[in-house]
Amino acid sequence: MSFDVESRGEGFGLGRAAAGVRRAVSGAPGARALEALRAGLGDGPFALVMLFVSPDRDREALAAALPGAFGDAVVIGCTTAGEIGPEGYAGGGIAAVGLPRGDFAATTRTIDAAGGVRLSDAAALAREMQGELERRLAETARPLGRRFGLMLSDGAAAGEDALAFAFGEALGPAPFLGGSAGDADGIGPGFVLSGGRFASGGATLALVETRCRPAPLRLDRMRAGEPRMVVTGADASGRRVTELNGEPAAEEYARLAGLSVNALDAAALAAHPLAAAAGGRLHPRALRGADPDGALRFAAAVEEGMVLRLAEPPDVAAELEDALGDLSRGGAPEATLVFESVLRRREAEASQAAARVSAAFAAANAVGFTSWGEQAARLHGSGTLSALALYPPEGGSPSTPGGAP
Amino acid sequence: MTGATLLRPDDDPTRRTEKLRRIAEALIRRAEGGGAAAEGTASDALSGPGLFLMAAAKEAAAGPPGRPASRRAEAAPGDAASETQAVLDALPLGVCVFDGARRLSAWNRRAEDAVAGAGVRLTRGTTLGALAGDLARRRWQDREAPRRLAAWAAAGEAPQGPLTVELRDVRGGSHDVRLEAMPEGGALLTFEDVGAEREALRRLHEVNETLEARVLERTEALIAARDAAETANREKTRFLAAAGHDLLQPLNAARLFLAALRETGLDPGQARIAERLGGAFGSVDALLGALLDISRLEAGEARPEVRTFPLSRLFDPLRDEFGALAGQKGLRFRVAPSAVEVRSDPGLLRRALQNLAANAVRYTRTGTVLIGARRRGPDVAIEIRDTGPGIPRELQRAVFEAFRRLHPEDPEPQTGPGGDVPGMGLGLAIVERACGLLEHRLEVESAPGRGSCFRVLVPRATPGRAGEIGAAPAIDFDLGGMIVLLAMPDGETRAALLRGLEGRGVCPVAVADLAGAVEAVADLGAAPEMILAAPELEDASGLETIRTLRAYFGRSAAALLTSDPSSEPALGREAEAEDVELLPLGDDGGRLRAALAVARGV
Repeated sequence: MSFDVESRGEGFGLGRAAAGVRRAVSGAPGARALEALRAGLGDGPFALVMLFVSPDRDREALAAALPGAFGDAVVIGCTTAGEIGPEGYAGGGIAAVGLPRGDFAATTRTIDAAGGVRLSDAAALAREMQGELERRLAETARPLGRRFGLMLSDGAAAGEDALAFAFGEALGPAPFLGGSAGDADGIGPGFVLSGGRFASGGATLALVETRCRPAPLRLDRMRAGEPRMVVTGADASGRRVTELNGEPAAEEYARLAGLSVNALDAAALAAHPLAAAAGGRLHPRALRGADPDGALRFAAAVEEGMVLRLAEPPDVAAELEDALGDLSRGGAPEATLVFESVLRRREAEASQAAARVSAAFAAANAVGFTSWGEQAARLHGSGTLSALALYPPEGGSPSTPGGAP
Repeated sequence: MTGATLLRPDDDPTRRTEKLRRIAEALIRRAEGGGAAAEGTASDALSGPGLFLMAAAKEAAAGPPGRPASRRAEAAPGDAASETQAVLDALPLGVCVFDGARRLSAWNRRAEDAVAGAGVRLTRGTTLGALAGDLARRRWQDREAPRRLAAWAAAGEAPQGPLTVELRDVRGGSHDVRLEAMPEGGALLTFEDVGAEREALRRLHEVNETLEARVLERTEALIAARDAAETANREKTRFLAAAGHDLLQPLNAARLFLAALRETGLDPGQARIAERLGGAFGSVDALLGALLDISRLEAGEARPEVRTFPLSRLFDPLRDEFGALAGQKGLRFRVAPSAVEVRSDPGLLRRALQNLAANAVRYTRTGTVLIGARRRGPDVAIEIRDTGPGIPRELQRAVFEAFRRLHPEDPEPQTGPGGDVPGMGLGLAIVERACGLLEHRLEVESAPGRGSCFRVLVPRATPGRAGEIGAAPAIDFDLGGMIVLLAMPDGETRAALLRGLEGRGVCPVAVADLAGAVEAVADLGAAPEMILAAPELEDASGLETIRTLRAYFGRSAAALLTSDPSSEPALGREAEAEDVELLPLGDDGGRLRAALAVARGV
């Protein structure tokens, strides 16, 4: 599984192979997975390592084996509804990405978002992290030039709106992206790895400065149909819609989608996505599922009066081939961080396009996970794809990649 | 998009209105909050949805990140506000939303249309009070409704329940208008177009009316068909009666010739044949007699003449007639003496009892035939009991049909006394028709092997009325619904008579002359129960009028009304010859009333 990284790192590098972004995925059982990932990423040293872990894995054991596994690199991560590795879609394993210290510097923070996040707190956190990153870079007198922000969060905790907005604002033109963790069913919470342990209800944020040129990508266009639904009852903090058009939400959605209310499974939800208008266009609104009380659970903000439209599922493969092809026009990115909605993955699988999607991901050197919420700039969305392509720095790697902070 | 997708096809109007209101309220609430989010500054007050709106607006302003959107996906235009407006416009009801300061903040096209009928235009920022006041000043079909709206609006934010009124504009539009307070101090004004509903109701009403007309038309057709059938039936009966008479004459001649033949010294063989021939002719005679009876009864020609008489007048001859025959068969035949008086037509009742007695004697082989009478309520039950074979329950109705015999193989065809019918099953048919004509209830109680009991219920005469045969009734009888033709030149006399008749529940039809009378009776489709005529009409005499009507429409009771009958003995005789009574005008109406009661048969 780590062959891809090693061959690229050693065989084709132009003097900066060891410093390039490293990716690996492993489906090996138990502790051997971590061994495989360490081998796949190489020695580093890394400024930041991210692990995207299937909920099937033993998180306790993984956390216990982590100290020192990637040197002194900061390790963050989260659970997934599926992994994206060097060969595209994967599952049941762990995907890893290492940002080498020569080209990257990072500062991270973890925040408890269980009770929601106040915008002012999020903004304060962003300012604090920016200050810390600048201090550290000033200490080493080594500005790297470009910045981006990353967030991994528990998609069931609902703090992403404030965090995305605050960090998006604070970063200005610099990209901000993230993915919300959840299991494949969309029922259980997501677990975020930081400080050597997994926890639900929170988010971890990374502010990264890099010599690589980052290019964000957001796929969230919808072709909406005519049937509209007005949210007439909602629990906004729980992202739950209790009533649509004055009727029990699940029932009304099923009626307009032409489904049986008892058949609202993952495939049906993916085949009948919803969209809401904002900022002059439609944004997908991913449904996590129907609650026994007839309410619908969403992966992003909903409120009373919101108008939802039934939309056509996107042509996931074609869209990705176009977009990633464009990103690779002047040469493939060194790596592409990808947070892709579980709805898109289900649609790709349902339309027999998963192999094409995997091939497109592999060609763009993608790494990431299947998410229950995606952040892009100030927006927390769902049912979308949020990605960041990292291109090799102009002028190659610095001569001393291992420079200690 | 149509508003219908927001609603379910099976929503009833109440549910529909409730849902529309909820939808409108939700949209408005968000439109107000969303506006703040899109234009204001970010703060902790913004919830996730508010942040989403603000972020989306800022992202839209900043342009797409990194690269243009994929060429395969297509952006649908619309922000939250225009989406809200789209839904508002698609709602099947007019909506005006007033913000916390009660200023018009959002509305839809239907609301514009609803007030346009009165010449009012909607402008952002107009206060509810100003709009309601403006509406109240305009012309409406009903000024009260807009005044109530204005009063509601003028009460400001004082808590008050929703108000519903119907606004009908001068162009014929009609809206159910509802005004209600919103939780945040705002107000919601909705207009439901009920013009179409009212129109539908009006159409429904129209359909009902044409339906009534169609039913009437159909009823008339049915009456005509019924009349035609009745006419045909009458024709048939008349034919039967005529044919019967024509048959009886040669038959009687044949019997005479046969009697003469017997006197010519026949040898024993010839005499036996002549005897049988005589028997056969007798049977034919009896059969024809029965047929004529039935046809007369069906034709209604045998009008019962009801009078009071002692039952013994019928019982005594029955004892004589059937005693001997029963004795020949070895049966005991008993008629219980009765002193009771009844009201009936003695001739018709006798015919019925004769046939019942003949049947009993004929079908009973051994045992007893018993005739008696007992009181039952206001009636006398005349019973004819026998110990014959009995009638199974399921056949007890059928025995009254003509030409129905229960035991065809049983009795020998023979002519009984009193002209009863030989075994052709006509006897009980005659009984049934006679009782029907007399309105006497006819009952049968029987079981196979246990004999039969036929029972005729005859009204008992009130004590003290005995002997009043044919006398005018002394008390008021029920004349309700009786149809009486009053042929008399228009004038005060006629008007007074009409009033008097109507006062007794009679339905009089007044005509001035013979032509009018014919037309009126033709319209009625049936002969009136009684004709009252003036001696002279414009185009015919009273008697001619009665004669003509009777000839065309059947035999109605009739009377000539004249101021002094005793002064016109010639007219009296002429009238009597045609069964027309001569009644005095101007007395207290007692004789007229009596004549009507007799005609009605009460």
